[in-house]
Formats: sequence, structure tokens, C-alpha cells
Amino acid sequence: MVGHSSWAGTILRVDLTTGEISKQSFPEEWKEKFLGGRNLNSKILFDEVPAGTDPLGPENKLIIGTGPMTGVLGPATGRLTVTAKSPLTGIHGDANAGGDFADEIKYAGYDHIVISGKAERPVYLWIDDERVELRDASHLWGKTVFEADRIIRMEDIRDSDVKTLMIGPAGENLVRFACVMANLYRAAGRCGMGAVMGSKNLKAVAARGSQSVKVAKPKEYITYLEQLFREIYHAPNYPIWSEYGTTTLVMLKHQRGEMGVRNKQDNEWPDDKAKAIGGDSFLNTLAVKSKACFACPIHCAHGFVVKDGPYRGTYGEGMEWAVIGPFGNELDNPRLDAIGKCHELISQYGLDSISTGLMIAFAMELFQRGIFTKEDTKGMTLTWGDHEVIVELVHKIAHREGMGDLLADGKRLMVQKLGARGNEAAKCSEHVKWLDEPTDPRSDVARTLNYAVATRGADHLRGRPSYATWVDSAFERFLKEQYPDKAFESPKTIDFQSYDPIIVDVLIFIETINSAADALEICKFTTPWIAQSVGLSAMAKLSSLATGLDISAEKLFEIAERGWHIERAFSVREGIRAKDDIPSHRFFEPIRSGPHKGKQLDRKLFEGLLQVYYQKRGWDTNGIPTRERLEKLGLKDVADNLGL
Amino acid sequence: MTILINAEKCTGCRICELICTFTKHDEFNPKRSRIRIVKMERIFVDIPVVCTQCPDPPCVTSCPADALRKDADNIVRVDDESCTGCGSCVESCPFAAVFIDPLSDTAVVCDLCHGDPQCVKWCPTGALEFRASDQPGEEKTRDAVTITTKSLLKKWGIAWEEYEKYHGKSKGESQA
Repeated sequence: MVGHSSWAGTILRVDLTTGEISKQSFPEEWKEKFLGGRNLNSKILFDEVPAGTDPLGPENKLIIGTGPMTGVLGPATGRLTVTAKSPLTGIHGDANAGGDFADEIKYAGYDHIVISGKAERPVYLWIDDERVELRDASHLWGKTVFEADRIIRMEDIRDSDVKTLMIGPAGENLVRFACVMANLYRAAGRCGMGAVMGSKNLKAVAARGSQSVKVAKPKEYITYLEQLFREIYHAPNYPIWSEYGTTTLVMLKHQRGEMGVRNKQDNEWPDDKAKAIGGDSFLNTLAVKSKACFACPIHCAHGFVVKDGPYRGTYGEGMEWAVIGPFGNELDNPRLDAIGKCHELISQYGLDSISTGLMIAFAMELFQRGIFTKEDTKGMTLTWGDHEVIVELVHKIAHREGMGDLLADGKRLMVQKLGARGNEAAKCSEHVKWLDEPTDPRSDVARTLNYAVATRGADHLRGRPSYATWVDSAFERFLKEQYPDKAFESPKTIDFQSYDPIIVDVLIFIETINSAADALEICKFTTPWIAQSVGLSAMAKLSSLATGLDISAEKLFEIAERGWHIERAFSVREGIRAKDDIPSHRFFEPIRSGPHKGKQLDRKLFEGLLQVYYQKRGWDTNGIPTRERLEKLGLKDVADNLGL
Repeated sequence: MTILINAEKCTGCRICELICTFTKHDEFNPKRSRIRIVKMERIFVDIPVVCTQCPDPPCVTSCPADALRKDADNIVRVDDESCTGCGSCVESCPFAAVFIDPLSDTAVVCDLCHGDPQCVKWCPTGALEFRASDQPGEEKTRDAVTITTKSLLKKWGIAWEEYEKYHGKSKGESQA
């Protein structure tokens, strides 16, 4: 490549079985076709982890991906994706985190890290620019994220600026929804990536980098970035988002009837309870300052301190809707201080907040219905809103103690283990392909469709069109051509509660926005997904100026689509078909309470909508990508591999 | 001229570090930056560290190669040719605001970008503030100073109010 480019240009490969460390030059073809981040991770996973691989066996791979924007001053460029076959869902798995670990990897000279095999005893990977080594981690095993991070930085390496990515006891104990933590508090949360890391006896990756990242056209780049930052600051939702972060969603979801109560049995909660865990309550009682990930102008996070009551002395960085929902309304728990305690615990143990809270909610409902007895709970009484029991269960899950051992296996395996009771139990969980979500989508057909087809299981981060805006001119043009009779001045002109095929187009567009953001590894909070300004055209221009490649919005669309198809193909190869896209039983139950009381998802119409989705994606009626579509995307090898 | 710091407003985003190295070198590399965010992750403390333009800067007096000088505009500048990268200036700075650039192996210190500091311009929260002139009688209070003073006063048993009585309120520590 001529001139500078914002890639480091190297993929680091670590075989934990042999201890071999090698450096692979980043193929130019991969840059053009996949860019990087989640997108390229998915390709590497598809190519290197064959069907039927045990997710917790040495044959699974753990892939850490930064993107071409990582380390560059840009719209929140400190993100990374961790990818592996998921031990929670059994299909394609990945998780995305912020913080400032990703940029440190880039400054050390690497774009992706591919970790294979299994170490004989606990190790950690120490990356000090070009010097890379595996170090003994027996003194770190069993330690919390907070403790192990301190020991690595202050005792082992003696440099407080070293950045860590690590698992806590939950990952070591193979809790199937354990996560990987960046900079203590930033979670690559979903799909159990922490358990994969634990299965490899890899406690942490520590990094220190001192190399520069350059962009292809510095002057044009910075001028354009100044404009983009101005747009971000002037977006209508900037004041709220930068002050509240996602805690602002608590009251919104309460009002919209999207707040699941008692494991989504209900959608109505008293106002005073909702207010007690809402954004204003958080800012007024716990938050002490705003926090941001690397290079982020939005700073949606906070430092928080619990100042009194039984949880006095609890503190951490957070909190988000994805913690408050699962540990609050879902458990009928209006105690923000207890939620704060759970937040601190899941950070130090390395547990996914969503899966952990919803697993406890699931257990409480099973107990409420008598499907779980005291024999299952090892004598515990599970009562809704009992914050002491909730906190205790977080400890138990992380350490697989008592009934925590059963819960730590995740819903899919737990339901299997319950034998005859499994079917009844399964009815109490709202999930798609065994991944669950904090927001109840039943009043929002578009969101339900998003959950149904998302490539890692139910997942708002893969789509969720109904809160988004499309300030993107390319997409507006496309919509106008497709639907000449409709006006698209604003997203409000679309009824997301209808089964109108247009929501499929909007969904695909938002899926693409998010895939593109993940390929570049910028934060989705800067994109139209959350009504912000860095759209597809902006991403295309920004990445062109940074990488020196000529990336148009159309090209970026295609790049994102390639990754989407590969992720789908991975799961199809594992046996996923159209029937698996049908959401679980609870999605089809009528909404029992709240503003949408009585509404019910129409299964026939919904299945029709799924077929529209397959058709528009170029998949067959069974949800399998066609050879024709794959070849058009330059993925003949994927078609061959699937035996199409 | 000086950059005022309000650490309570700092989110730790490090945009200042990035724009600093981009301004000076057309590239991004926090390890070359003349402003650094000291991050204490567990307790979410972020403190911007940057040259405070001391009246009698120890970095200048401690330099064995006479590579650092304070110019007529009060700004400390490094002569790259004579700098040996020995680190005396780094050790002598009471605010840890002088750094060795790992690529050039010379000392780097903030020069206020010719009176238009880019870190201040790009800071999302106003944690960094630029004061173009030093007004007589006005206390140049900065967090780095405040924090050091505070710990000393605590040790000596002098109430924080005494500081405020004689030295004015400090923005960053107003709730302390």
C-alpha cells in the first residue's frame, strides 16, 4: 500500500498448547473485503473453527479484533470485539467492549489477536510492543478482575499505564455467560467469551504500546473529523446522552411498556419503583462524575458511589440500562444501591450483566411457579425483590456454589438438565437462540424481528430499528426508490408495530450501520442507531481518509453484508435453520399489563415477515444464504464450505 | 498564559493526548503527548497532567545539557539537538509534566501551541481551560497544586477552609 494507513498491519497468533507466538502480515485482500473488527473476526472464526467444535475445548479460538479506526482520534475509537464459538448458545458468538485496551493493542502494533489451543497451566499474554510472551498466571488465578489487574500492573510489570483485558473467577469457573473485562469495567459481555478464555487457561492479556498510528490524509482527515464532532455535539440527544447515558432509558422503557417485570411476566411497574431506579435517581444519589471510553466525546458512563445503607462503600464505573433492567425491574427490585452492589460484583467477577440478572429472574419465576423446589435452590427461598438473595446469587453463580452451579450453565443447558421439567421451564424464558435481552420487544414488531434474525441470538446491538434515525442520504434515496408512495421525513412515519415489509428494509439498514461500526470498531452511540450523526456515508468517508482505501457507502454496505452472511453461515453450519429464528414461547404470549396490555405477536404474520427478511437478504426459505448471494458477495469459499 | 485544569470534569477520554500528538507530529501516539491523563481506573479518577509554566522551572535548572530554556513568552522549550534524553527534567518536575518521547528519545513539554492549545479546543467537557493572560492578584489554582496541598494540610492538621480563606476557592475541589 502506498502512503500511510491506520492499520497496524499485523495479526498476532498465539497457540497456547505449544506456546508458539507468530506474527502474520494483514492480507491486503482482507482489508478490502472485511476492514477488520467484528467483521474480520467472524471470517477467521468461520474459516478456522469447524462445525461441531466444543466451545470450551482447545479447538475453539478466541479472536480479539480492533479496527482500522482504533487508536485514531475519531468517534469513540477504543472498541474491540472478542469472537469465539459461544458456550452459551452453541452458535456464532462475539462481544464488544469499550475502555482503552483496544488502542493499546494497536499502539503495540497489532490489529487482531488469534488465540488457539489450551495452556497447561494458567498464563497471561504480555504484549510490550514487538516483544510478546506468555507468563505464568498461577498467582492470578482465582483473583478478581480488580485484584489481578493491580498485580499485573503494579507488581509484575511495574507500570501503572499498562492496560489489561481479563477474566475474573466466573471465566475461570467456566460460567457460560462469563465475560471479558477491559480496563476493569468495560465488558465484552455477551455469549460467554470469558468462559472460552477460562477454558484456555488464559487469565489476561496485558499490553503496552508506543508506536504511532497514522492516517492516509491527515489534513483532510482532521478537518472532516472536526465537522463530525461538531455534528455529534449538536445532535438533539447529545445533552441527555452525555449526562445520563443509558440510564435515561429506564423511565422511557417504563413509559413505553417495554420494561419487563418479574422476568417479563408483566410490563407494568409502579411509577415510584421505576423512578427509584431511573436516570434522575441515579444521577442524584449515586453518580459522582462522567466517564468516557477512549477518544469518546459522548461520555455516557459514570463513576458511582453508594454513600449509605447496607451497601455503603460500594463503588464502580457504570451503571447502564443493561445492568439496571436485569437487576432492577426484572427482579422487581427497586433498590438502586443493591443494583450498584451487583454492578460492582459482576465487574470484579467478570459476569455478563444481562445474562446474570435474567438468569436470576428466570430462577425466581421457576421457583414462583413451583417448577423449581428447594431441592433445586439448595434450600434458598427465592422471593421477588429480595435484594439480599439477589446479591448472594451473584456470588454463587461466579463461584458455582450451591444452586449457582446450575444457573452458571446458562438457560440452554439448564433446561436440558431439568429433564421432564425442561419444557415447562423453557416457556418462562424470552430468548432467541438462547440469548436473552433486557428490553421486552413484544409491543414492537420491528424489534422482535431484529431479535429473531440477529446473528448471535436476540440482540439489540445488531439492529433495533425503532429508536434509530436515518440521516444517511444513500439510504433515503434507496427507500424512496423502493417505496415511492411513502414519505420518509422522519422515522415516525413508519409504524413499527405493523407487519409492513418496509420495516425489513429499515432493519437491514440499521443492521448494516451497526456492522459497519463494528468493522471499524467505533462506538454505535455515535451512529444513527441511537440518533447520532456518524452514518454510513460519514463512516465511509472517515475510513477512506484514515486507511487510504477508496471506501464508498455502497462498498461499506457490501463489506458489512459479507460479515453478516459469514456469521449466519457459521450458525447454519452448526444446524441453525428458519425454525430457530422463531422467538421463544413467551414472545407469543399476550402482554399481561402496562400500556400495551392485551397485545400479542401474530405468529403467522411474523413468520411471513421473516420470509420477507430472508428474501431481501438473499437467503432461501429455510434461512440459508444462497450460493448465488454468497458468490455475489465474493464468498464462494463460504458457499463451497456449506456444501450448497 | 496557562492551562487550567478541573479534574472533576475530566472523563478520561484522552482526546487531548491524541490531538496533541497529531498537532505536533501528524500522527496519533499518546506516548508522545505533552499532556497526559493519569487514570486510576478502579476509583475512576482521571487527572490531566500538563506543564504549569512555573516561574522558576526546575526542569530548566536541572538540565545538565542546557537543552531546556524558558523563553521570553514564559514557555519552556526543548532544544532537540542538545537534549540527551537523560530524564533529569522528568524527575525534577513537581507535577510530572515533562515526558521523554520514546520515538525521538528527547524531552517533550507543553508549549501551549503558540497560544492556541489544541487540547483545550478539543476537550469535550471543559476540564481543560486556557487562560491567555495572568491577571494580577488572581490565584493560579490548579488541581495538581490543590491535590498536593490538600494532602500536606491534612497531614499537618490544617483545615481545608484555611486554604480557601487565603488562597481562594478551587474549582476542581469545590465540593471537597
